[in-house]
Amino acid sequence: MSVRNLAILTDVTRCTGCESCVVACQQANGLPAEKPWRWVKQIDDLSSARWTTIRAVPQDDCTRYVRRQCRHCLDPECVSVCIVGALKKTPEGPVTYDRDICIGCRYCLIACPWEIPRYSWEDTVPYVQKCDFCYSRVMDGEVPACVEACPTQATIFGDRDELLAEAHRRIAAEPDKYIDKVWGEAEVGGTSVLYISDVDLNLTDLEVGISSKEPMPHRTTKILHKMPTVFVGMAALMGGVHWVIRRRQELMTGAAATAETRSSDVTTESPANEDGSAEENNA
Amino acid sequence: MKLRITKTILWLVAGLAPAVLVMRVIHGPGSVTALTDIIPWGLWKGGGVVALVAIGGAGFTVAMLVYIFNCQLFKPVVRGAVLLALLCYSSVGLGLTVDIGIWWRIVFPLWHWQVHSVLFEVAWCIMLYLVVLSLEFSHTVLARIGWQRMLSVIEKLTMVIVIAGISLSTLHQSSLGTLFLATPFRLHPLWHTDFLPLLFFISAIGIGCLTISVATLFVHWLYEKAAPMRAVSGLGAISAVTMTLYGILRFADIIASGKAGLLVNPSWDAANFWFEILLSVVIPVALLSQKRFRVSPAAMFWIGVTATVGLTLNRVNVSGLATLSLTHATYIPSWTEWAVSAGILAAAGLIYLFCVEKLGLFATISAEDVQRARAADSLDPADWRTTFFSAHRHGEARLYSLVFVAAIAGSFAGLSNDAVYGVEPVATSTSSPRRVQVVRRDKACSAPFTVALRDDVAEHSGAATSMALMVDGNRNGRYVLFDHEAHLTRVEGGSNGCARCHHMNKPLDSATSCFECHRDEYLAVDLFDHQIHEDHTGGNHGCIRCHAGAGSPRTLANTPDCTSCHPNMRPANTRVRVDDPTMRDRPSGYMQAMHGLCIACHQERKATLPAERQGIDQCAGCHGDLPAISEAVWQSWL
Repeated sequence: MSVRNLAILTDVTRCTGCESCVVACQQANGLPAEKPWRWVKQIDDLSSARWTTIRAVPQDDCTRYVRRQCRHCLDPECVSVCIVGALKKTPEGPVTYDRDICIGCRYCLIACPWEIPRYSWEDTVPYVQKCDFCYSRVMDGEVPACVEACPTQATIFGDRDELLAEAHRRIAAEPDKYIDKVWGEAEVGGTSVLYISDVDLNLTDLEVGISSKEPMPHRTTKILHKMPTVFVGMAALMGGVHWVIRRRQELMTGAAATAETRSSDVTTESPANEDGSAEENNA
Repeated sequence: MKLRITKTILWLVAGLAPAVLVMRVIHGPGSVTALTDIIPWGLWKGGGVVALVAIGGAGFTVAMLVYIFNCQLFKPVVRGAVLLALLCYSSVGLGLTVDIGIWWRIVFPLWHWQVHSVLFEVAWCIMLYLVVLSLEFSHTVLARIGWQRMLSVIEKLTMVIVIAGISLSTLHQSSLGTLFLATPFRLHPLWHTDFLPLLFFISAIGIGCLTISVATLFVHWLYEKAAPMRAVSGLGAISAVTMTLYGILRFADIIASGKAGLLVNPSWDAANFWFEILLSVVIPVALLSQKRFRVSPAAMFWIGVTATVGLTLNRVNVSGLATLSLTHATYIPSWTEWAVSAGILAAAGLIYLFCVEKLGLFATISAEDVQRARAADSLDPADWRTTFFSAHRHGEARLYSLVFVAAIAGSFAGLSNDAVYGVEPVATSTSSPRRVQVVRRDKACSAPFTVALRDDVAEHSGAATSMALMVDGNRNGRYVLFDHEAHLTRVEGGSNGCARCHHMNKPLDSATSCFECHRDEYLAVDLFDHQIHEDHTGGNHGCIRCHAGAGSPRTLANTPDCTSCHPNMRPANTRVRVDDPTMRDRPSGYMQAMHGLCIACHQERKATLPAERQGIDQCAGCHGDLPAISEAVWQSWL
């Protein structure tokens, strides 16, 4: 499969909540049996043993079922914050996880705006657990296990641009049915997992809605890029201040040695004086 | 005496950590922490790393004052400040090692580079700064042991080291704030601001001045010497200015970004915010601005403690406490987390006192002062405690060893089962199904045939109603309506058909309820009554009837299946299948039992059913999830 920007489109109106995707995901990824660990609030929520789940959203007419999974952001925050680069955005689109270098800092867990990554707290050597878009399967030309298992084609797989076009086509075909919005088209710079729906989706538990189109990593990288300047600037400032103060003090005390101070290099100049005073103090 | 009491307490607290650390290594971080997927950063990160780095800000602040600004006033505390920072940062390193999931990979950032990560930058800065601090502190050690050549090398490099230390500190103190710019959706808006890096940096200077003051005053109190109060007062004045600046910036930012309403809106977060500001800014600035408090050792000590607590609260808030309301999560650190954090700090405190005594950390505290303070003079010389703990030259060591070992033993005894045996799933006991009145209705999108009704609605509707079982083993309000009457007629076998589902019954019971054996919602349970089997097989002589081989271990693995003795335990025509041989006849979890029993039948029957009933084998076919239905909705269906 030579699709460059892989994506998944989930049509909430077609999902019957059968959870075939959940079972298929667990089998394809060899996930362990789900257990009621004390940190698992609900056993059918995302957990280290459940990388995708169905959240029931009761409505007046009938319940909607919304599938939660890693959104595979186009500019993912988890990848940006990972201290060792265990999380990677592959050129094909999926965000993958390399358990061989993860140190377990769990920054990705707090940084993900969608609250997706989970941790296998129950293990002596725990790892981050999240959907990897069945990366090895799709590289072999197959479709992700969840998409393959879906009996109603509520969740489909393909090129992101084509799926976006399909989403807009469906909305245009039935404007009364769908809300005119493709979730994941623009939020935090866009995600590879898209949703269309006839009810408003609030995909995270967080009250502050994710409306910004600015990719999450920009919040930190704009500061981070100033850091080399800050480092050098601070060093120069400190060196300069030290030189000025030292010079003024020398002039004020009228030390004869000032005449010899040709070099402005503080690093070689100052320790000699420093030694003297340090010695005195220690004595 | 107070020195001895202080050290005893420190040894006691330090002794709480080792047992927990051992269990953390054996069973992983989940076994000793209360962390969850929603609150994955807890006390060890917020208190043990983020707050402790700020407290260690004393090192670069005092080094800057003494070496860059050449303020000889602060010379008496500079060594103490450098060691304070060194111990804080070492504790941070140790705490971080304990906290991360795979502790031996703490060194991975050395060669796995990810330069876009703030955490990567912080990790490198802290590592490099630890080197810088070690070099700065080596001056004290080298001077003590008299290695003049090394000493002169270090002294020549002093300015380079100091400037490197200041630049590194600027970077990582502020970057700890940058870390939390990545969590705008979790962190309460009163704390989340683009100025976090600047606020973290400024407050680290302000608090650094006070933490070294507290340490200096405490140590001098311990050894009963007059503290260098001119230096301490000066630090207090600098802190007052810095914290004022910090407070102004903090409020200016909140007001400028239009969040002022949150300040007066009564909420837990607003109360938390004001409490934090009171401790970290209002009280310290108000008192430090008055000279009479700055020159008083006691006042300076308590002001410093208040401000340190306040600023620690600030760091803890940003890294966790102020995220609770937006994430709707709760997190209360387990005592084992407290034990590790406090234990590491206590050990650092002991090292600090050791350096005060052996390295002459403070010029004002001489070897004679130490000797005098260490002499336990208030005990009766004839008392056995004096004899054992003081008279002999190892007396002190005996006391501390005893306390330390007792603390280790005590903390072992206090460990939770999860910490000792590895974490176990939480049991969810099941209960019997309830009987409810239902009405039949064909419904396209959910449970196809039954809907629970309130009694009053059912009475007035005139529709055909019947009783159904509300299968909700774990009583979480999500249930399956099970029409038992209807299933009676469908099951093959007539009056013998009961056994196809009720496959094992208790004595004198023709149809035992599912929940009586499948006692946990998710977990297999052990119903086997060993005592009854022992009694029936003749006590100790009966062991070999089940446990094959006289010399073999008496374990479950060494025991035949129950069905080898009880061939009729499961009727031949039962629908129940045992797929998992490792279960050894243990009843599976309730959910698995229900699914195992129902789904296979439903899948078989699907082929015989009309098109509108094809959802019978899907989850939503049974799981309707319609808890209460209003009359208006009901009327709309008629």
